[in-house]
Amino acid sequence: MSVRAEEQLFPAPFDEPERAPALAPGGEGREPEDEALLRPVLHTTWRFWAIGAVLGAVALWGANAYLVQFRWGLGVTGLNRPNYWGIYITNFVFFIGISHAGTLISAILRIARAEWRRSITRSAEVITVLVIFFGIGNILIDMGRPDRLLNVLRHGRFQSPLLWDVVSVSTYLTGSTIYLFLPLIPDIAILRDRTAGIRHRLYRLLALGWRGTPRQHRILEVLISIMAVVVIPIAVSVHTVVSFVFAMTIQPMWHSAIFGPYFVVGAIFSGIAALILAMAVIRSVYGLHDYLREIHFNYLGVLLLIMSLLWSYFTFGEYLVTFYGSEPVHMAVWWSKIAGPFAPAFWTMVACCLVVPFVVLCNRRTRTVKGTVLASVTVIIGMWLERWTIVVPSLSSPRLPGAAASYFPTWVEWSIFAGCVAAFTLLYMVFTKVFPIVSIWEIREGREAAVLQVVERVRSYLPPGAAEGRAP
Amino acid sequence: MFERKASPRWGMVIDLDRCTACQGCVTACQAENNVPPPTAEGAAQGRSIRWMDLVPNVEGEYPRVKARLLPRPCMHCDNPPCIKVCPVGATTKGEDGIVIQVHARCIGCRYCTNACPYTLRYFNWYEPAWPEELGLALNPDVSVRPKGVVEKCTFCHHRLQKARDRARAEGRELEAGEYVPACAEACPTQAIAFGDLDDPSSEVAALARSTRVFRLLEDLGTEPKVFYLREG
Amino acid sequence: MTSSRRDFLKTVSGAAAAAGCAPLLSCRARAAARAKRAEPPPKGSPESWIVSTCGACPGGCGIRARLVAGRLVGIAGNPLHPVNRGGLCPLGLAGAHALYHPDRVRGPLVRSGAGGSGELRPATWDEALALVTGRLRDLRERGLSHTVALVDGTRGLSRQVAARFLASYGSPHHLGGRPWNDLGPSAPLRAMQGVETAAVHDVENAAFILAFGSGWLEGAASPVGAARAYGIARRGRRSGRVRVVHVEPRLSTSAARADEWIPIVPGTEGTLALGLMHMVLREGLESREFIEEWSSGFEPLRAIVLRDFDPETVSERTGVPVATIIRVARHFASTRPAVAIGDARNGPGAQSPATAIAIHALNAVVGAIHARGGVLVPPEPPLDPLPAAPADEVAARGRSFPAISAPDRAGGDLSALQAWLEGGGAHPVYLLMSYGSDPIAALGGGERVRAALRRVPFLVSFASFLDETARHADVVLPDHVYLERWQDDPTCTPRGFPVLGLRRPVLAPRHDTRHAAEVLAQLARGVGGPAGEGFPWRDFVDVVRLSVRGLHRSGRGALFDVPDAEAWVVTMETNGWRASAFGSFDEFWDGLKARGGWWDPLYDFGERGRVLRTPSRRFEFAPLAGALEEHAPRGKAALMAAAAVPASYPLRLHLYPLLAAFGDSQGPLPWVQDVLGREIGESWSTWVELAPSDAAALRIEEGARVKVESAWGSVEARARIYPGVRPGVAAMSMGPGGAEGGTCRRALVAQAGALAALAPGRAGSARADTWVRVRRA
Repeated sequence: MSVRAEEQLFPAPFDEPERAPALAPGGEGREPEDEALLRPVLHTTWRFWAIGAVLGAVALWGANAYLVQFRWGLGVTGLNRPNYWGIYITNFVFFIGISHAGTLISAILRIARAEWRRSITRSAEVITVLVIFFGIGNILIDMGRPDRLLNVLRHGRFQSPLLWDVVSVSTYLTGSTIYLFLPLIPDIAILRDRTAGIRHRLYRLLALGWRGTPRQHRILEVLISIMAVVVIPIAVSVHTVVSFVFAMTIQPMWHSAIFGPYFVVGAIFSGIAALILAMAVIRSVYGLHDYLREIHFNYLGVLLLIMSLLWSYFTFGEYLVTFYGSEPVHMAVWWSKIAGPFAPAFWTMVACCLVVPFVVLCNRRTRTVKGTVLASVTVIIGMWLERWTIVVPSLSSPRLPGAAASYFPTWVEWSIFAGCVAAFTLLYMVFTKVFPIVSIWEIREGREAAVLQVVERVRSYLPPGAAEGRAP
Repeated sequence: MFERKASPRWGMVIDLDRCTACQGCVTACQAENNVPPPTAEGAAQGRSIRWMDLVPNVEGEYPRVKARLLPRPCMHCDNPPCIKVCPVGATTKGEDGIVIQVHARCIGCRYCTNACPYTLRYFNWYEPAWPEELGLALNPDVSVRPKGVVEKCTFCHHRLQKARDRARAEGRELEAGEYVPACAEACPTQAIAFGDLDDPSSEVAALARSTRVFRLLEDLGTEPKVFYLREG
Repeated sequence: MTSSRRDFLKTVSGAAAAAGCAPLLSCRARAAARAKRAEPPPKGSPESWIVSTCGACPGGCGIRARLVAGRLVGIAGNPLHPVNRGGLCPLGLAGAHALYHPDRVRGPLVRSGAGGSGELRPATWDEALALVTGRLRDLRERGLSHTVALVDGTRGLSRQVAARFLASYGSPHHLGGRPWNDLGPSAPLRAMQGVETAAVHDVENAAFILAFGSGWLEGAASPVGAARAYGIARRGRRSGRVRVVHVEPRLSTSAARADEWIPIVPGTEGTLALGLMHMVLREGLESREFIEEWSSGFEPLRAIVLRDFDPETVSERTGVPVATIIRVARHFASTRPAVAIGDARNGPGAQSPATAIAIHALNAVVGAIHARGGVLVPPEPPLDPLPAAPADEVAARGRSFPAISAPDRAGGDLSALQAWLEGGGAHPVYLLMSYGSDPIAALGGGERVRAALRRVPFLVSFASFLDETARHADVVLPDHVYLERWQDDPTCTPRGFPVLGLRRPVLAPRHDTRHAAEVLAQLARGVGGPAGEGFPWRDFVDVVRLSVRGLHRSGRGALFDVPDAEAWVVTMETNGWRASAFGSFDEFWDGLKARGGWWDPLYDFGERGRVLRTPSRRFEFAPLAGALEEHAPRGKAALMAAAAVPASYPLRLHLYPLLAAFGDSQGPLPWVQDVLGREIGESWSTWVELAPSDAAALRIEEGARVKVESAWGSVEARARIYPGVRPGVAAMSMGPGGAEGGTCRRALVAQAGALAALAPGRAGSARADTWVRVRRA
């Protein structure tokens, strides 16, 4: 992209003098504070390479497992009739659910002007963009004929909820990517000015000629606000249509009207957990205790608790309604989860998604970094199990007898799952090496402007006059 | 040239009072439709392909146990749940009411297999294979499916095409009984009747009006075109 | 229902073990390299249909084979054939798999390793035949022709050729080769009517069917014929729907299809039959006409039955409630026509002869013998006999030795052979031939059986597939499969009409195999003497042509035709017209080939002499009365009295037939294996069914691997918990079992044979009184 094009995007008015770059190298007193945010990008330790190598190996092993499946067919999985879907579809729903960590939470916090968001939005948004690839990827892995993927475009029929997914998820991916990229621009500009060589050229290209003029800031703020508003319905729609894939069939315990909101709640729930975990890792690995503070974990912990209760409410409703309906085919699935072959998964899920988070998070003293991380880990496991106990049991108890068979994933499926998790983690790590994982300019903006704004805003909540009247 | 008043609505009536559950229909179907020979491993994994299957249903406790053994082809629903969910239109219902699978278009997502409340759609987990010479017995009228696609009962649609071509070549209408699927042909007890449900003079239409008639999972509103006549 | 609990903890260990599972891949790669993707012949290839007769089981259905580009691409029923009228069962429909089976023996094999090692090498026909001929000639010259035995599972002319061979050669040992599938003369007909044939039941015309024992539909002599008759009796006739009551310890397919299932203690069916007879007599519902005019010796029986078989006693013995006995007896005796059906088969898997006789007597009491809707005795087709076999002194001397098995020992031939080989015999057996039979597998295939057969220094098998016996043979002279050979197939319809199906090759032999009957003739010629002279025919077709000349000459019956033509034939025949439309013999022969066979759709209910050949020319109740008197000292209702439950074997074994398990010495056909036990969701396996209460007591879970042990042997099986099994009973499918290994692998039901009854010294029925224990493997 030429400079001219950059200028077109953010035209610098002639009458406005250019401001100095936000963070000049070796600048004044306060800069060294935020230097910690640039350190991961500019310096890499051997530990990064070691962990990266391990994750890369696991990812490659997963890729190899997929090649095995590609060569021989889905027969290498544990799938069968009637368990036509298994771990891949579980992962698809799970990963798409995790993706709600970022964009949705970040957008909501932005719109709500929750000031504590500033240091966490970036890490959340990155999760979204990266994990969507694995969500889509698992659908592709699950296909019997991945070579015929283009048939979806050539012969696509919009009647199928799967096509809704294709549209919705791709829109979400695009929106989330833009939403991740926009707030990155000022930080890229900082990096542009701090690097040389190939990286410099990359950052220069991506910075789109950002110079930090008020007009550029204004445009950026507007765009971010627009995207924040746009992205929320998209995110809601994504998990709604994911749930529709199941709910639009007449399979017992899939065909449920609450699946839309239930899945969205579950998605946000697992997303927050993933975000807390990611933040904790970043904080500890890059030493960002000053930026990702106890209070962030505390607030997110409260959010997680709320989502846990909301999720439990939906789960309770779903299972109670089914129980009272007492339709035999539904009850077969119901009992297989409550007291049948899926009971271990189901009750582990309940423990992970309700019991542990509730106990840990409702107490202020345990709602610490460690506490919230513990709750998040269990929630992530629990929500994976939730997806599992939604996808598999309904298929395992078909309406007509004679087709019953049990399903358990094979090494190929586990390997691909492990590969996905490893590859996601690896990509996330790489991202932190290319871009600041905490938004530098937003922190700075927070320091410079937000405190005053908040004071102003709080004042605006209160009845005028009384305080002012007494003041003189 | 030979215009019909309306397209026939092909349907099947299975008289459970005649059926002895011998499974001749099952094997006839596998032989006719080039279903790859099942293996012990595949059977243990629940991957045997039986477009026509015998569905056992045992209910009650000793000594009041009832077992019902239902031969179960594709229901060829008038309102098929499978078609609704296919993202690429690989399964369609022809104007003669037969639900067919376009193997060349199927992407193998298996959404239709899950949407079908009768679990009667099958998947090719591997490239179908025939040990040594068994492949010589393949029926030339039916294509062999590749790996990774869904397949199902077609009411032996290829037989309809052949019969129709023959009738057209001879300049006449398709006659009743000229087109019969392999399962109905092989049934030792003639428990499987097949024909045009819309033709009031056909045997199936008469049987489908019987007081003994029921259809599988009728309350789901799928409108199956396979009717059963209960015993007794 | 999932077969195993999917404990989620397994997930963790599964993931951990994942890396170790990679070798799985190579297995798959090997399998894939062996099995190829196949393509059908191109569209528009030349197509033809050949009419023949199925040989997959003894049922004798007519088939049409579809040939495209020289390949057998489909088998359908012959709509003209009166037995099946176009219908076929899985065995017949899977015929192409038998023809193209990868495990077929592709040419003669000769032993290369030590005796019994099972190592075989390919040989030429000349070499293999010379080896066998040399042995035979040598034995005969040394005056040891009586040490040659032939186990024979065939029937019709093939069996006659084999008998002829032995007669001229000089051996008395012509043994039945299908203990589990013996469709020979039934014991009651022999004892009570003096007729040496198998009875048929006129199901098509019966208004009430009382089936005793095991599945009469899936275990019928001709499963398709029985099914067809059943379909007609249920919904295909004007006279209303037949009512079916089924008595069996297990809810089999037949029981499931019946209107009422009466679970019973295994082996007490005869007692129940007598209990029902008691009620019939007590209520005066018996057929006085039959008893007075047709039978003799009824009064002693009446006395015993009225004395010993009151409903209370019978109920106690059989486990059938008194009310049920009374109700069924009334219904059976007051519905006309009604028929009681026992097992179609003889031998260890079937009811004991005494039970069969009791059931037959029940039919007689209500007059259902040689009557419409009752028990019929099918006439033999008027075939020409083969000329008498030439014999010389050597042959006569050889024939004079005691035979291993008496001719009337139905089904017990092989156990007699085992006992003989284990030291009970009057002389050793130096050469054993197995034709259409797999004696080792039929005897249960255990080590003891193999050891017994190893005592035979020279074992010859005519198997088309490498079965258990062929594996242990010294020479294998492979026969064609039934789709490659000429053969006659005499059978009958359920209405008692004699049928002669013609089997002819639908394709040239695929491998270097030869018609076993022709090979026998060749061996005879090689031996020389009268044996050689006894086979003047060029090939087996000539033998068939010679035999069917009788049909042509008789002018009776008709070639197979559409159902509508049947009425015409009947009209003609009943009016005494014999204006046969056969034309010349060659025309008749061509007609046989084109239509598939000949039949005579007429059953003469007037000819009493043919069906009552006892010395009194009456139906004899004496054999039953005699048997009951014999037991009388042991107390009331002692017939087939069960001993007390043996402490170490608490469960009674019930062996039941499965249609798919009765293929005739073919390899395990994939399609057939796949439908094996579909009614309880089993295929490709051996399983044992237990009542839920028994399984709970034994702490055996659904799907667990268990060992089933009897005093005679043990079998590993999968446990299936089935509410349709009477508590106290372990149910297994019966059958000959078979060879492990091979391309299409394993399967095989019923080494259940190993558990029961074929052990030497056990006479009668294995099913009646085999006790087992089941424990986790």
